[in-house]
Amino acid sequence: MKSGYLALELRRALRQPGTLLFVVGFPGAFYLLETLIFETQIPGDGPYPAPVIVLPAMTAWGVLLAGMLIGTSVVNERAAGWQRQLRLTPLSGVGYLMGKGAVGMLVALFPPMVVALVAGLVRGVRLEPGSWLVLLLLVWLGGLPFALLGLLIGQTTGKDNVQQVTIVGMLVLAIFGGMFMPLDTLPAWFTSVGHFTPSYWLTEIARSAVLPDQDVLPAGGVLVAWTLVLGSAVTWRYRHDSGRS
Amino acid sequence: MGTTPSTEPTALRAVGLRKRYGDVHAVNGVDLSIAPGEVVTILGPNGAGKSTTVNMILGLTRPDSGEVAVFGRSPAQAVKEGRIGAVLQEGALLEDATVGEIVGMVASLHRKPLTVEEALRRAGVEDLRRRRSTKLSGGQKQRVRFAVAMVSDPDLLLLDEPTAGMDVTTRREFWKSMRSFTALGRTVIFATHHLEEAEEHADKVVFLKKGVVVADGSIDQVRTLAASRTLRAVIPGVVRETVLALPSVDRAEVFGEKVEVVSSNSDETLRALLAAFPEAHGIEVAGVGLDEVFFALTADGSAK
Repeated sequence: MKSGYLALELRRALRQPGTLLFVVGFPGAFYLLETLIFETQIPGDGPYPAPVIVLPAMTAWGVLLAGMLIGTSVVNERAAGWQRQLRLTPLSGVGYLMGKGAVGMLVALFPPMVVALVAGLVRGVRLEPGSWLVLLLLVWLGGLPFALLGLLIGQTTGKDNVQQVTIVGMLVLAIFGGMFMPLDTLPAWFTSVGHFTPSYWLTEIARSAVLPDQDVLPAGGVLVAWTLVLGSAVTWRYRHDSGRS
Repeated sequence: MGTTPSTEPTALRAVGLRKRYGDVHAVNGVDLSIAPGEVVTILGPNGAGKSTTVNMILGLTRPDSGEVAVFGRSPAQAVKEGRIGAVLQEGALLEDATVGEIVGMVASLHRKPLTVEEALRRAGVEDLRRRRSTKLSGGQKQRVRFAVAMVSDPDLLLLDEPTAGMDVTTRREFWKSMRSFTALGRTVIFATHHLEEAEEHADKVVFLKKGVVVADGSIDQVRTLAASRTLRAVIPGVVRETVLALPSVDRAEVFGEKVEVVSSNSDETLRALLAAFPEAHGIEVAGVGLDEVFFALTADGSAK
């Protein structure tokens, strides 16, 4: 029954080439730029070369971007009255949110793939074939709290501030998650604060697939917790919202 | 309130609906009973509580108190079964989708929808199927929304100011589409502040003012009211009582030399007025507005 809804959502997502190109291509391009900068800034500093260090961070940035941008489309549809129209159909509010989340998660599959392709083909990063798959799978699953965060932004902001909230949120999360700069190149308090963000753990879970000395479990546990917390927040907000009107 | 046989549930029954926003009682105790197949208009000036009432019938707004039953079910259940369709005042269309895609998607959510072709045909927009919704005129948009509302093949259709922003031609086309829907024996409730629309298209009228039903009547009542005219003239040394005594005068106001009269038969009143006051000048005759109708109704009600 909901396949028609999902199909149109997907087609509409594909119809925004600008946004799509930004989400899918930007992390890959940023990866290339960062590896070049870090190579000259910190030559041979750590045990791993820059293209390997930056790889997990940029795959993580890609899914964060895809997830959090869901909010904008939710806000636009609410402002345009489309959500009210949908409330006059058998599609439930939860169904609506799940559809939005699902399409966001589907889009989130691609940016890490592009980053991985650039890493492997352009920067010559070599991983076990299994590690590539584990990286993409873990970072993609780890994107779930960010899709939920996007939905929450969509539920709580309006047309005039959704852009600011999304952009500031993305940048803060990316910086404290060590996505743009490795946190060990920044003052220690960045790492301390980072522990309280889901983005830090998203980068960590991606690193666990690439770097042998990283454990997947703590990051996985924290991200599951974030998923539960944000999932409850979205559900609570939804109930609150429909009860108030 | 009309009674209906217990075998056939009313299309809509609302009892004691109330909704307040802050200090404003948007709807303050509305009762409605509408039989299947009736075309009913909720008539009222802006801010009368029409939209709030419509939204409560649809289950989009939760009443503070009171109950709504649509074909004996809760609004939510009736929506789920596809028995209610609605054209809302700000109901939008997706900007990045075509008319066919939007109607098709809504159809896919319902259990027993019409085909997309059929819904578009009934709304008179079959030629717009491949058009992006951003490329539609205001009147076309409204009819596409009508197609969206009809695709579930509903038994009850609610239209909130459906012709707002339409020009005369599209308005006529719209009501033509609506008539073919009511010809199937379906129930329609529409909110409007156009007296003429109520007069032309409804069987029954519910007058709403300040969140209260001030009258609930047949269309003939509206016809009479709509036939009323406001007559203005300048008459030196006029006395209100003399004006009130003229034939067919329902109401008269005198401001210095200026006289304003509401008449149920302006020809008759005007002839008598000129006979009684040959010096009258600056005469204007105009159709009454909704405000005058409401005044007449409420005055009527309190007199009886």
